[in-house]
Amino acid sequence: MSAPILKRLRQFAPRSPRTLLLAEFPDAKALVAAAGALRGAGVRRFDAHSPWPIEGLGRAMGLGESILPWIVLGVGLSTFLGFLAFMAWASLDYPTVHSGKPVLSIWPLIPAAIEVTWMAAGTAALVGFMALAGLPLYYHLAFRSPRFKRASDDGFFITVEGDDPRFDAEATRALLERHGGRVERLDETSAKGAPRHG
Amino acid sequence: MSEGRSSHFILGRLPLSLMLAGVLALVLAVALGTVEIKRFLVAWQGGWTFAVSLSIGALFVLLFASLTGSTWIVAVRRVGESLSMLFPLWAVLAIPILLSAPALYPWADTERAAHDPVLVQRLAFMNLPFFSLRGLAYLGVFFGLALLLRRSSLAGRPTIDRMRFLAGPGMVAFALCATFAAFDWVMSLAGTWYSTIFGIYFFVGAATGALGLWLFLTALLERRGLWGVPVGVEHRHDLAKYLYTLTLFWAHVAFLQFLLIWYAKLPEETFYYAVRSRYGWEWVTGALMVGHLLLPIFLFMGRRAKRSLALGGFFGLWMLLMHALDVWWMTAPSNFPMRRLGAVEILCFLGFGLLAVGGVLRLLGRSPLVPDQDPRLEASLKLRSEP
Repeated sequence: MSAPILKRLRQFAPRSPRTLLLAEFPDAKALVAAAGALRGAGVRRFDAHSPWPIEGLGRAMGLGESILPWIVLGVGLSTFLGFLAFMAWASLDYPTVHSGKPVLSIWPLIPAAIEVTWMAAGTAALVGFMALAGLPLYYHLAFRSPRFKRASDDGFFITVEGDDPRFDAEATRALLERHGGRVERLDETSAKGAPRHG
Repeated sequence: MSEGRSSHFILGRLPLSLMLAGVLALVLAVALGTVEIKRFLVAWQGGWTFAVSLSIGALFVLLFASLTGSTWIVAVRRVGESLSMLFPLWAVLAIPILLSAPALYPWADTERAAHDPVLVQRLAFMNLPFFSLRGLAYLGVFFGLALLLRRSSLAGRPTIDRMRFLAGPGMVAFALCATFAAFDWVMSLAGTWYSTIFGIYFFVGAATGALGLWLFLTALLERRGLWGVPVGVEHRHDLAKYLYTLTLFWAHVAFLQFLLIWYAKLPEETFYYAVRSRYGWEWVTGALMVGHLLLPIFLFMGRRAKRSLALGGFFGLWMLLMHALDVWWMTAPSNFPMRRLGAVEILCFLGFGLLAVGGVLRLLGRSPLVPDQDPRLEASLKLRSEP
């Protein structure tokens, strides 16, 4: 019964690209330089992978400022106001008198409204981050390269996705190699390498 | 380089002029106050509480930084240090309050207290000799801690670790003294009123004001290019984040104090808020809600506002002013249920404020602007929070 719903949901799920250029760089400096060059060449659909955060990498990739704060603010504010309105409606629709307090007063509503706001804003931060980052993604073409395992150890990688209509395999490969990258091309026919864990 | 710096107007001639202007304002307040002595005393006590709270707030931030071994604050710590070194000045300026306590504090008016069934029970604790002794002890502990931190900052490496160890017990002593000082100096103005969270309300508000002044002066020194080392946007950003957090915490405590009293609805507690919601005080209460919470919460939420030199500096100055308003709101209504705002009140707060700012700048000009003996200074100057 749930299968059609899942199937329908799956078309919204983030997907791995079908062809990929995977380039490995000797160090963080080369990675940042290559990312900047890719951006300068007009390539948009690429990502960088490194074992640790690298200062300046986000700037070189042209990531800019995230819109996540605005999502969190919007969800938080509307939850705060909406929940206040809901509690006001509940107080008026079923009025009760407690120890001489007014039927409707803003003060006792604030703690509950703030708690709900925190939870909603926190959820918005998590869900918004996942959506913006293209998660959850259980499989990625890069896993087919055995070298890619080292992205969480000592390897510095750039992946350029072939789905981009302006993707030019030869020019991009040449550009990556100019910056010291060891490039390999991956697609669904490539040998499986990585999915052995532990 | 240091000669060029201390001869600069802001650290050279300005501090003394500011302090002189402060003294002038206070003298003017005294002259105006002779018309109505009680009004002057209430204003003086408010101004004094504002000034001493700034030093208390700075001490809190410094102790906390020592306790947690913060590196980011090292480069700008001299500003707060100077602020926390002003306790002797405040001790001298407290003398008029001690001399006129019976006019300010209901319990100090022994005639009246003897007929009050609640106050009469408290006279063993709340009496002028013990009150004065306690006040001296609080100021002694505050100044002692400030002095230890200052010495350690001047001496550098050998004392940093010792100071970190002392900051633990120091924080306990500080919190006890700040709580009891808030009870003695401010809460007891309202006679029989009590609130157990009042101590926290007082010193979180104090830290807001102190950090506001701290941020403002840091921005001012950067604007004039006086730091001489790369102190800049990263340090201001951290100060602004800290100030923003404290602003939220102040609102949290202020609201909880109100809500519990509102819920319980006990006449011996509610009158504190009843007084502050009529006869002109409702505007001050509203101004605090808007100016001390809503406005800064939205204006300075984003990182761009916090990192801007002009806006960040304004944030600091604004929170300093709001803290002055908060202190006035805490102190004055207890003696004047009808709001009174005139030259005397403004001159007293202005005078004490100018003394504090002038005092900080004067002390800043007397030692290196950054703690150059501190081994963490280099790391502090390299601080980066940008991705």
